[in-house]
Amino acid sequence: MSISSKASGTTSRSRRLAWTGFLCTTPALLLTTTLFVVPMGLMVWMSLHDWPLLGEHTFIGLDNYVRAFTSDGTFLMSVRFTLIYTFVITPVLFFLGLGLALFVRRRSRGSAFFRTVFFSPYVIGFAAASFLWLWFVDPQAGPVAAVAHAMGWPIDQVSWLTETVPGLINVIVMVTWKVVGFQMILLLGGLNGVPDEVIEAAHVDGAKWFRRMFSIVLPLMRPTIVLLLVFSVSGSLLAFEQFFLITKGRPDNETVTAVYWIYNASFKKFELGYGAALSVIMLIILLIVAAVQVRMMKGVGRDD
Amino acid sequence: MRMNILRGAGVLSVAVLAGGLAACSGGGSSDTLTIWTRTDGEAYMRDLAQKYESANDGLTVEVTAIPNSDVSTKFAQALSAGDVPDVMAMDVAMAPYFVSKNAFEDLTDRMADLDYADTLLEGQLDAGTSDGSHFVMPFTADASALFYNKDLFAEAGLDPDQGPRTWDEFVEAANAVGDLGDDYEGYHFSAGCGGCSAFVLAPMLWAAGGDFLDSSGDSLNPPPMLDDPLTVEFLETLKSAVDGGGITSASQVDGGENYGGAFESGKLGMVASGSFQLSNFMADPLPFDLGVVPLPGNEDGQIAAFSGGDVLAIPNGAPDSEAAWDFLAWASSDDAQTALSDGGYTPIRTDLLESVYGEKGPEYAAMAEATTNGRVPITVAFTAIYSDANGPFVSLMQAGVFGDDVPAAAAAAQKTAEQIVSSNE
Repeated sequence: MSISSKASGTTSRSRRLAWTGFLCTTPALLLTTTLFVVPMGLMVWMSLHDWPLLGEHTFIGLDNYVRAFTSDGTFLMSVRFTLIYTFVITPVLFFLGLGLALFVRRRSRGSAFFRTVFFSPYVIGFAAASFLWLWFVDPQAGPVAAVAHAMGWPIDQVSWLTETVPGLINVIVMVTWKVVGFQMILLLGGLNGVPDEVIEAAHVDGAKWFRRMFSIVLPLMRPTIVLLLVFSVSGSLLAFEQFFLITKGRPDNETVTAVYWIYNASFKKFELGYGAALSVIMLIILLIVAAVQVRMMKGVGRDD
Repeated sequence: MRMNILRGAGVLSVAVLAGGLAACSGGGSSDTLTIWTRTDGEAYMRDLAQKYESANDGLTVEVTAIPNSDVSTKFAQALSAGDVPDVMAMDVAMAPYFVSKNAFEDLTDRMADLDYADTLLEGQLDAGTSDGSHFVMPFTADASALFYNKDLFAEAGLDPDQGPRTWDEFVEAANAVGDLGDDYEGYHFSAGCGGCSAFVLAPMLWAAGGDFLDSSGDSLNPPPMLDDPLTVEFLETLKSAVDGGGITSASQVDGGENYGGAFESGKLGMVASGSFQLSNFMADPLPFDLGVVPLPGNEDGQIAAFSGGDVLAIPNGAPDSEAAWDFLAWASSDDAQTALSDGGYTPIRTDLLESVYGEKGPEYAAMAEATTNGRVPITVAFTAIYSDANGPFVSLMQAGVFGDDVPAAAAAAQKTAEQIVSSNE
């Protein structure tokens, strides 16, 4: 083998290896194509049609998209509501998760126990958690009502299920209880990844706790934080079960999220074409958000 | 190494093919009758299936129960795939949608040959009728009527032997019972569940000559009249019961989970429910005197009922259409309907309603009267308009009955309903 062909990597051996490598990826490629690319293509195709569940479908071009932005006030309201929900819950989850991570970080005997306690709600599904929560806040049968009665506090639990802001807070509390453990675990890992010497050096230099945390530790945890935000934000933008089961969109569809409205269009009104168009719009929103986050991640590499 | 992988892959694919072919050779037996029903009707369907099997040697009846909320979607998917059961038992309110999509076989001629053809419940039959042809066979009736607690009525100063006969008497009774105490409710309904509210409230509007959808024509897709003056008057009437304490927030948040309210515990004055509830109450005697009256309109003498329940149909493309019709004929015959009546379910034959069912007692007689006068709201958009928890009817309940501005709520709901109706044209 001459040096030049080795350098350019075009020897028959390396080509064979490359081909074998490609063959090994074909199962994964096949899976991705059939389970992701094909359905997505089909969805985009459906979004250009009036496609009822039963009956003929007719090509209507971009009419579904026009409808989503002009005559369907509920869709725009649902996107707005979803964004508000995401903006509120993301920092709540982050700072609470950070607090819990700092709390369980100390090597005390209880810390392993607390880690488990905070993390366990994460493993039950959102539907199960929502049903559990409905019982929890029930004005007649739930523990919150029982405690409030016993203490003599008059609380209006009906508004937690039927009014916009109390309903939103109610769901945020439930989701926080459920997923904050996950944030805690990730942030714990990130915290442990910060070298002790750096913190000590900052301490020696006279930096107070607050300064140490926000100017030294968090910036060094950037990759973890960005990863966490990707999970958190995309999960919140796709919120469905908790609103479907707890607030049921009340009052007057004001607590309907984007995915909830897609479900409604597809499975209550049986308008699959319109539901597909709404899904495409959500997909684009998610792609933009993901792109921004990947950009933030890339920035980290250059800083190093 | 690569040869080994290829050889392994070859063996694996042959094995999979062989396994698949073996599974395929099972095939369907022509001595099996497949029936799909909703879980609400599972109990009596299985009972009847057993009876039918013993009356027909060699025939197996396979009953599949589908959760209520999934029936429309699952059945629609089956129709698209061409993989349908022989017999489909569905909620009568869903029938117009599927009839409009040509999902069912025409039963008109076969039905005319039955000697009890004119005793079949009109309300249910009409729901599956298009251009004079019948596409569904009534199966079980579940009409709505008003149940009330006679003891609570007496306590509240009302005449216990007289249920409310007008809207005003209804509100008066509700507020009077609600006044008995903090944990007393005058009337309870599931305002978060569209189908449930329609079941109990629509008849009161019908009795007064009004409607939520204008069914005066024969259209399967009638236009909405949610902002009609009579409709608004009815909603204001209900709102006055909310303002007077007769209807509480317990009704507002109830999404259908709490259908009977606190009736059995004796803290609820009135609740409107169906025949199935009557048999429950009769089976487990209540700790108080039960009264049953048909749902009233706004003037004395006006009554109506929502004729719910299930109807049977033969989907187009059913594996064995003849066997399916035999089952339909048997299920509506004296044998099967009397068996249902004995089990506490309401028959769909007016002759049996009067005799076998009505003679079980005065409460049953009242229910029989309600059933015979029963109607079904006929619309292809029943799910989108009525049942949808985010649809216009539920909005009307939440924002109208429990809100501050009934006319505004009615106008908003009317607009949404109009959009739904026009998208179904």
